[in-house]
Amino acid sequence: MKIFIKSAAILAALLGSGLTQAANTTASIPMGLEVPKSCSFTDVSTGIVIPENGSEGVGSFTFQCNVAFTSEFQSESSAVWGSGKSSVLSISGKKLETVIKLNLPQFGYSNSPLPHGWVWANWGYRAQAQTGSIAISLKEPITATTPAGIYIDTYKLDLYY
Amino acid sequence: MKIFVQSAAFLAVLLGSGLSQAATTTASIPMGVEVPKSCTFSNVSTGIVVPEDGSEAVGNFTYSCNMDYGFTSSISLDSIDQNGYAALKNPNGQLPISVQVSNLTYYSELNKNEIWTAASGFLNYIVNGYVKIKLRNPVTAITPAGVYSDTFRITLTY
Repeated sequence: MKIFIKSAAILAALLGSGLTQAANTTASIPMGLEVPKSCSFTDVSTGIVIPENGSEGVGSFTFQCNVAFTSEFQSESSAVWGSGKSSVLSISGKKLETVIKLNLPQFGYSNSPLPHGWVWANWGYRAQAQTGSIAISLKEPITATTPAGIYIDTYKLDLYY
Repeated sequence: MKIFVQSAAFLAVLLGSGLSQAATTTASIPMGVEVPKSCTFSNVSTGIVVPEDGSEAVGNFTYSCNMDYGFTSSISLDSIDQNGYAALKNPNGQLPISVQVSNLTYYSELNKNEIWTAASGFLNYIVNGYVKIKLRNPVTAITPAGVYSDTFRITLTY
């Protein structure tokens, strides 16, 4: 019996102290999602009828971005003119100069004339939808001598992100 | 010569019958092997893509240990805070998530980092566990763009 106990003690010594050491085994699972960048327009007016008497016609729009963005608002005519002026244009090439104002209070524009017909800016992330409008009027009311015809322009709102 | 024969006979009497008794000399060499305790994982999901619409995504893990009891299984999420809220995070914000875990013997909503202890009957028992993740609120148009992430961890201690 004494030999047995002695052998057991030696065996335990041989096998070492590993029996008392804690060990860990770890696994991990990463998880996540990517919310893609996006900007979208809603409630965009289908058209603006410009009054002949020089008063304003108004169109509205709402947009939302989930990321910082840059906006470019510009009438096609001012892009064509390249002089900061805007106009409506007839199919025969006649022009009637216009005045465009931007109302976008959350960005500091409150019926502000757009002398160059456009806005270009870097905007930070906004948690709320942005609602704005443009008001357009003829710089001079039409007269009896204004050539007959349909005069048009298009106001473009581009968001870059 | 007579004396010599007599002396030899006397010596034989003195030494007695011990010459005929068996004797034993023993040496022993203990031997043995230690099978170290171990736990191993298998079939661990490489990642979980959490759906934007609030539906559920599942990650799986499997493990077994070569001991009947005496090991613990610890579950944690990197994001979980002292109030029990978990979220996918990025430097600009976070998206709260709901997390449910099946591990060892039962299933629970994970609202803190949990530790399960194996009582008995787990020798080479294969634990098929899973973690279910979903956004508490679906992503909307105003959710800031970006990559949101978290990490689920399971640690076996023995």
